[in-house]
Amino acid sequence: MKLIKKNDGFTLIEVLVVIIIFAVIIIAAYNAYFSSSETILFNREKLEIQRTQDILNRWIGRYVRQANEIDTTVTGELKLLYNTTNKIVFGLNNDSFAYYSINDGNNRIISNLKLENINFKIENNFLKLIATIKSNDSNKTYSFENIFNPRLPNVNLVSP
Amino acid sequence: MFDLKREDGYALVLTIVIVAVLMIFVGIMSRLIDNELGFYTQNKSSSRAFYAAEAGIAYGTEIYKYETSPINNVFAEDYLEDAQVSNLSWSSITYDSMPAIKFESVGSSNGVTRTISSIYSTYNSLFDNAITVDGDFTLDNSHIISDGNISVGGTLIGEINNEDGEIIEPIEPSEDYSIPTWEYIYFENLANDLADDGEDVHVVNEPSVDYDYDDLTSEIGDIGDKFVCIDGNFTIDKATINGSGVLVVNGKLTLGTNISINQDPGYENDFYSIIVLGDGTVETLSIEGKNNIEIRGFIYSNYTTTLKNQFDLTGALVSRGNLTFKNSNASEKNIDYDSGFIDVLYGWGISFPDDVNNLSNKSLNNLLNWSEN
Repeated sequence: MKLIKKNDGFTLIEVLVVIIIFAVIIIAAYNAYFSSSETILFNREKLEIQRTQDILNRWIGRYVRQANEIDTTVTGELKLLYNTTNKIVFGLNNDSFAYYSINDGNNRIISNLKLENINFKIENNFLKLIATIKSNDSNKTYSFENIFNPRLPNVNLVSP
Repeated sequence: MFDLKREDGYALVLTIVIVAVLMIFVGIMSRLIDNELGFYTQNKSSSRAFYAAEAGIAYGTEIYKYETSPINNVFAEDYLEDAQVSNLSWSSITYDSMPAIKFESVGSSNGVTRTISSIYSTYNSLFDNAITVDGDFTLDNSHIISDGNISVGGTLIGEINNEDGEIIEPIEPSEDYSIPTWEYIYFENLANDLADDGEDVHVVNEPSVDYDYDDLTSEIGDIGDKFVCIDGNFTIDKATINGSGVLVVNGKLTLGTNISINQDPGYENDFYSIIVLGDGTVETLSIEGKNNIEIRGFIYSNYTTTLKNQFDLTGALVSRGNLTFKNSNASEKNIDYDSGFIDVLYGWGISFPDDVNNLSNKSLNNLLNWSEN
């Protein structure tokens, strides 16, 4: 009791100084968090777009390399015949870009982002994909162009 | 009791609070970044594994001609940066009734593996030559001009020049090299199979002594795109043949004058194949006429071959016996190598019976299939 009595508690100035210091720290931390999370969101959008393009590139490239026949007669669709008997289609399925196997009916969504203006065309024995990717968050659109090289020399190219 | 008024050491508390707050931020950030990087790390490993597997295929197709089996572990990790070809193998198969080689290569990187298998058609490496002779090659009073390889198993007597007038040195085949051949029964069986497939096939058994081109065409019409087997001697004189057909003569073939094969416009991509198996005597194929023989195609002669005067060939010529060019003084190239005949031969299903097992004489042709896992 004697000890407590001796203490008069914190002075107002002391409490204020502590509050001000904490406020400064919190504001600085909040600003740092806010600006970095903005950067993250912006970068994530770019990353998602790049990732989508990368996945498309890998999926389509993998099957175009093996293709015996490449058919682009239907706009926005790519039909491939590979390993002589396997038939697959790439195209939109309810706004999502998907892979569909005609042989076993397997359906796989490749891109969660929306793709627009998909155009497959055959130029100089290469397959060209031109499309626009729409970002979910900002509704921004990104156009891209990929070129695929079929491996087999006697690949049958069917264009409209 | 504690003396609450004492403020010594508050800096430690403050530091702990600040560090804790910063740690939380760092934790959040690193988790976010890690999520993103996970995708790219997997992606990078998969790409590296794929390119390593592809490098394995490229390496396999290069060395396969010289090695009887694949050599593993030749790809040091240093070369491929965190990736390696963990397995490379090849095997002889039949693909679309053609002899073929299947290469399988497994690439791996950071635990991710990718497998590529590719199938190449294969053929006897003698098809890489414009002229292949097992015996002596004699150029009497003449030189020929060729832009292809010349392989001579015996002695070359005379000079061969290229288009620039430079002397071409023939290739010396290896000691165990021998030109493969067929039995006539091979073509009889093939003719039966082709006929079953609905191809235009014609077989002549034991023709008359003077059986010739006119007799044949009066029987079956134009032979340009047909598969024709003649079990006996045959003579062609003054003929124009266009198409990618096959003529097999199980006897002696005599060529006269004015023979034009695939020289007409529109037949630039056609190759006619003439396979002469001989009648057991030394001379198989001879040109006895004087002039003007132009052929786009493939000529195979089982024994001695003698060609006179003006003889132009686009394609390839194989003679298992001696080959003699007489008076074929050429002012422009007259033996012009063109590999187009190989596809025509395989299109008909013709290959040397031992090709699948005979690794020393092989070359790779077209890529037939490519699959990835």
